[in-house]
Amino acid sequence: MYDIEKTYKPRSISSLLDAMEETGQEGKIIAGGTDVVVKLRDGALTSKALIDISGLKEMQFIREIEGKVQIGAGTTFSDIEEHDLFDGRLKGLKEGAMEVGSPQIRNAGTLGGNICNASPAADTVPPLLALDTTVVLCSKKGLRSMKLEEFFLGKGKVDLVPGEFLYYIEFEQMTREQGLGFEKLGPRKALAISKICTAVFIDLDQDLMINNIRIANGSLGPNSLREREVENILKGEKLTEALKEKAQIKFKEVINRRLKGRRDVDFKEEAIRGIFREALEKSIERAMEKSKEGIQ
Amino acid sequence: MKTINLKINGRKRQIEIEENERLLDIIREGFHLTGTKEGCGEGECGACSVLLNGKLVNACMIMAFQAEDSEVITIEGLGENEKLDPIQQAFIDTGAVQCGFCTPGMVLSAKALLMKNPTPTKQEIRRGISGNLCRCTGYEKIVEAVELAAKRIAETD
Ligand code: FES
Ligand code: FES
Repeated sequence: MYDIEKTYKPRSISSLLDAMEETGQEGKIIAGGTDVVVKLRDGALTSKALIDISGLKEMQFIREIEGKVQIGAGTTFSDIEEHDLFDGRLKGLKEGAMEVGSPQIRNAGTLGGNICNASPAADTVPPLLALDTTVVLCSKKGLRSMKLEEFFLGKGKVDLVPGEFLYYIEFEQMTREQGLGFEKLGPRKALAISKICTAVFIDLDQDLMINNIRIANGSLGPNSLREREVENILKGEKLTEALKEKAQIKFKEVINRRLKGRRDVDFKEEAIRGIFREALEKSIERAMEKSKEGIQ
Repeated sequence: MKTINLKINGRKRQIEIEENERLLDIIREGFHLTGTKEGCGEGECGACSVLLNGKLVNACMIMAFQAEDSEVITIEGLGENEKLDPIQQAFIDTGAVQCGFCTPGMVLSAKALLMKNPTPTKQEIRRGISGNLCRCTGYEKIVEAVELAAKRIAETD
């Protein structure tokens, strides 16, 4: 059984930093509790102090600044689901957020928790990886930023130093000709194994040249991953049916290699080809929504 | 030990909590509001659903200290005096209650859904109660009950 001795409910970032300093290694940040409480109860977490950020308004925002979209780490999945910024080209992120658990979990669970617990089943992480997201970390020394991809150290670890927390994430606002697609293997109940999902970001010009593409998977390895081998087949090429098929074959090959020896490999391989195709088609469709400006 | 203030079912209350306690523990044992149930204790069943600052959450996933200065509504907070909430009444009239263990959570999920979306489709209702498990009814009656409640609420407004 867990044994919490101290609790903190900071009302500002500076008192959050003070609480983190005071508790040091014993302190654990808690927001929606969807992960932390479960881990405390099953003994996976032995923190003696909890610091609650669920009431910290300074960490709950979705905003656009100088061509970038910034989302506070304390933003819940429901906040993302309800924000119209994610209705158009960026819909892939909303689709990822909406796949997380139940309404209760979406109301409590936060983007920051989803990232920092580095859960392989986190559904917002693949879209964020496909968006080439940057994480902004905060400590008493100031802000530090790095690519989300580098923030993951594997085995559920993230690159936070003591006294540092994830403040917000940011990525480039979508331009015309760009789109984000997301697809997961469903329905949820049929998925005892694990949740598989794929996100695709595409930048496609009017002549169907793929200027840029980023593909990220969830639950197909120890961490969510960018699939660069597949990206390389598509990047700089003209989008044709043959090319899509070539990419699908590559995708299958990559997954097969990664999952070698796992019992569910056949199932996953077929399934993943299908969801990759779906995510790709969605990204293309959204990139081609020329009628509307920007991200709308 | 720590003392926190919060508003529960419309009343301002002060309560002593243990650092280890969850919101669910103080609702049931501190305030003796036993309509909120503990099923799985790990966020899977929704039996412990409450409204926290107007949002549906699982009280087994939230630590008690986190609820400081918040507003909590449990199943006991629905309806007025002797009159049931239209959702509760619809559950009874439709026969959506069997053993009743899931019912408080279901009703609160329905409440949260109808506050946001007063005219949900069947599919939206299913999505709205997707975090609540029921071992008895097969959900059909529950969906019907929520539809009926939505209809009655629309008629009285
Ligand atoms: S008891 Fe809280 S979700 Fe089951
Ligand atoms: S009525 Fe028995 S669990 Fe739902």
